[in-house]
Amino acid sequence: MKRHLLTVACLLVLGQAYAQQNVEFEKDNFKQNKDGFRDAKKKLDDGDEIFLSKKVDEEYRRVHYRNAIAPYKAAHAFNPHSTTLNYRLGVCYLFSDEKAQAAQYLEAARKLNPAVHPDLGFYLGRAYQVNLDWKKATAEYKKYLATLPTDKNKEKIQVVNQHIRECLSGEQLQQKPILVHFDKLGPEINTDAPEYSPVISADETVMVFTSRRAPEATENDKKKKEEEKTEKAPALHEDLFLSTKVNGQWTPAKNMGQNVNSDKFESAVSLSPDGQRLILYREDDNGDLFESRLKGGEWSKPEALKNLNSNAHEGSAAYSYDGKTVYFVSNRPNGIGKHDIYYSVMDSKGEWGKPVNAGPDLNTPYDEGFVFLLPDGKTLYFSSEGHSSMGGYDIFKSVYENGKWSKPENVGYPVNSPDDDYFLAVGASGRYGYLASNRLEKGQKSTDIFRVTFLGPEKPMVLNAEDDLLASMALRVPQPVQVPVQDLKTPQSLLLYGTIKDAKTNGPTEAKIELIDNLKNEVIATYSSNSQTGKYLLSLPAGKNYGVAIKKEGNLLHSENFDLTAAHAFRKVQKDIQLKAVATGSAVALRNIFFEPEQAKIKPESMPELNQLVEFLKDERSQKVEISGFTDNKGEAAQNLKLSESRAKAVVEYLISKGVNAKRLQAKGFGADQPVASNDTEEGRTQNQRIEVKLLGK
Amino acid sequence: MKKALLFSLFGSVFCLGVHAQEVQDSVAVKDTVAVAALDPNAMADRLYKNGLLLISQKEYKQALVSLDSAITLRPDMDQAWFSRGNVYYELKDVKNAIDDYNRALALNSANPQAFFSRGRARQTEGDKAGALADYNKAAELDANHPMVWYLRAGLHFENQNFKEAVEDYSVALKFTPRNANIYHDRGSAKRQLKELDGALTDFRKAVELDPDLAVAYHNLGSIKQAKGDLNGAIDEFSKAVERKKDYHLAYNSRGKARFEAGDYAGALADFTKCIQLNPQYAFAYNNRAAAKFKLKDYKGALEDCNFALQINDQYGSAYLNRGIAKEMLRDDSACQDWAKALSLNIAAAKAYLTHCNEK
Repeated sequence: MKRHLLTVACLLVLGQAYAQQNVEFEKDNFKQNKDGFRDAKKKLDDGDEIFLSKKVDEEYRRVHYRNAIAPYKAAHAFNPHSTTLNYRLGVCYLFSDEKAQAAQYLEAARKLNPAVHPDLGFYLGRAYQVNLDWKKATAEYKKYLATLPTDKNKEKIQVVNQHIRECLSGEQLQQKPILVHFDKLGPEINTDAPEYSPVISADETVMVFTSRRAPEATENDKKKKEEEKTEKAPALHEDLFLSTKVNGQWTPAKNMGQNVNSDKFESAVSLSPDGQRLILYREDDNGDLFESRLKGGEWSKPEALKNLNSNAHEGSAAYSYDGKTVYFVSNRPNGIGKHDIYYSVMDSKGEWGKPVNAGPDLNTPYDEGFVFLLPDGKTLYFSSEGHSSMGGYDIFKSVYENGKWSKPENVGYPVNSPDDDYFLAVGASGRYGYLASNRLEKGQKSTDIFRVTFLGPEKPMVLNAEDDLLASMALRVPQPVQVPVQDLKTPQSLLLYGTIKDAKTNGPTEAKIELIDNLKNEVIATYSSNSQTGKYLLSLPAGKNYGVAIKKEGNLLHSENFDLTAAHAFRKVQKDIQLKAVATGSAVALRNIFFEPEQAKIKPESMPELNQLVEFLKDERSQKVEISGFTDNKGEAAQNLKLSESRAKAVVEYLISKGVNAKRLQAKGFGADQPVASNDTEEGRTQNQRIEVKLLGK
Repeated sequence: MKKALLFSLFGSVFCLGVHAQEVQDSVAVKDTVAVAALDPNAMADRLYKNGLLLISQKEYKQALVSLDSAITLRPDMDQAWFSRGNVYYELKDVKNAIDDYNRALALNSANPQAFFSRGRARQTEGDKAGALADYNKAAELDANHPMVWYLRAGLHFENQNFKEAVEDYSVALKFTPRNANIYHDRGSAKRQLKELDGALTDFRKAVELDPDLAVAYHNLGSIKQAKGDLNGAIDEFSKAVERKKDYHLAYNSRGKARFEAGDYAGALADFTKCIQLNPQYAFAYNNRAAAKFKLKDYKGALEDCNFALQINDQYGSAYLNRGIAKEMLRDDSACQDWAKALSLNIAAAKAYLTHCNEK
């Protein structure tokens, strides 16, 4: 037994000694296996053809080096002791989706011959970095820096120093990981082919993404495929797909059709909060941005975003919640770095204004990748190779407050990694994000779309203890417990959604929706419900008293009020609206007419809605109306009746002052009669205190 | 139990101590003929003294017979009523004890011992107001006895009148300046008044006077923890468990201090020990859940919260914590737990419910 062990030990030592010898791919080294050598050499040459291409640059490496891995691995299986092959294979892995594999080959190369290539240390540093081995990576980078003459390698030194900073960030971020759940979306979205660039509506019920899946084969397609086989390799398919969430489940994604998809390389970039406007990237003119709109059930042909696109590359864009500002990424000249974030504001004609660089608060000397705006009107997510990235692109968050963007905050590990983390779409609640990744699940065949659940900061558990406070008796007193009440920091916005139905047809209708800032007396944004489904969605950031006016010809104005002047947590409100016809007897509540408490004095923030009423009465010139006042049930009935009458009269007087014929107007008070909601709650009482307009006929 | 024992120790000494001479002078009643030969007053006196002797020998049932006879012969003998009240008290017949003290005080309203003893009995019965009135009267009649002040201080403490408790403890300490328990209890009252430094000084004095007073080490640890001195707190809790091996509360407290210091494995070991010593102690399961959570054993945390809730299904913190563990385990019923925690006044749960309706 002892002898046997000794033999094994000797073999191991010999084996190690052998493994440490460099054996390059030369005939003389493989005299006993000429056939094997010939085949392996062929594979090596195939790999080298890619690796040693004359046009090699960073972009080339990103795209092509991964293709050298298979032949190199075949050659490596025959001869694992070639320094050169180990080095090249390691480097190729660093430009692939399997970066974690790089370190073993680069380490083998170093063991065999540390002088195999001057950049070996740099790539080893990178390999350690992608494996989250921050200290070893930093040490390698520093050793590598020492080999670089400072006068000739300024750019390279800058890159290595950036990687050293990344390692420092990475170590800190990894020590304090954020709490998230990752869920790979199901087969309705993901296939064995790559899926990426998911964009979502604010309520997370519409998703558009890019996929390289094979198109659904028709007979014509099959025939074409046969023809292609004989002539050339099939083209890379890259199409946009759309899925909607119904009853909490994604429906099978459908190709967005020929209106949206073309033969060119294109990718989903941004979806408006209501899911009815899509920005997509198309490889036109160095890469431009296009917009497609949902009309009923059909997406329009994409149109280039005028005034935003340039001869340079524009790759990402996002609309603000009101659709009046667009942020986008471009590498046009005179930026701060390579790709920078720009913004453009829509002018009064509806045209995009001159793009403005978003400045050094967001942009760095490095690349910024994508932009995404949360519909809370102030939160921006973007990717950058600068700031406190832990390697490659990382995703950052910045909030626009007090006239400037806050210092970008790395959204944290494990959403970010030392690899490129390029894109994240976040639902209006801030709770869920959507990203594409090839590293989140073992055995992933390709890039897939995942949902990230942001759990927020770790929720502290509460511990309890007791003291024996009196020696003289068993008097146990619980120790005071301070349960930290954690602010989960939800976006401060309200998502209003639902469907609108026409009075006459009783079916879904396309209505105009105006979002009004009551205090400023201005229309913030105008939207439309979908003509086919009647669906609408608005995001209302906190901080304003909003009026929502819904208009459709032949229907009475429908109004809603959301006073969000105080800060509040994110919430969703569904309002399915049945419009009322312009017909005798029809009545609607005007929710944005406000009075001083217990008085009939109209508050200034009522002007937008009162003026809408004036416009309506001017349009319907012969219509007589009753202005009805109602109160809640607080106080004396007689007092309430009097107050409701006074308020109705105040409205009538305003209308008369704006030129409406007094003969057409009647004021009537109903006090607390005819409540529309319970008077037991504050919210119900607010609903009951109202002014209504009732059509009395012509 | 502990309360009754302490009353027994201090109370008997106080009540009986004043009669020590009488006991020594008493004559055992062995010959009923000889007794019968005496006049009723003398016989009652003999029987009373015999009762005191039997009390000193802790022969309470025989003492009761003797004192019954004495009272039958001389119903106006207030000391006999008083002593029989003491016997009833020792026999845990508090109601009869109070009746006898009432009779004794009706005959002699200037007897501080009777007020003291009735106060003690009333306190045992839960009649805090009656007890306080009696202690006040006893103190008025005899301001020099430490036990009156000590027990009244305890009553103030129970009534959460900590300032008055500190004052009474301080008076008691004037009479018995080397009583570790009184220092300890005054420290506790100061602690409740958030006078942490004063409390610390008193607890230190208590352990100086009685180095084996485990409870004082425990409270020293608790104060140090409240002051942010976690290592100091852990040391004190360790001293408590060294002196009282089965002190489950101290293990729980040390576990909590270790948890706060980031020593989650150490905390887990302490909570486990606490559970071994008292398997019905819900706090320790709840706390061990927190330690397991920090060690990323979310399933274990969930199980411990379940144990805590089996013991006490109205334990708000355990619902909160179980919800947190469930969230990590992707169990949607976390939201139900947070809702329950909120209904049990755990305000932190409200924020956690924010996302519960989202899918």
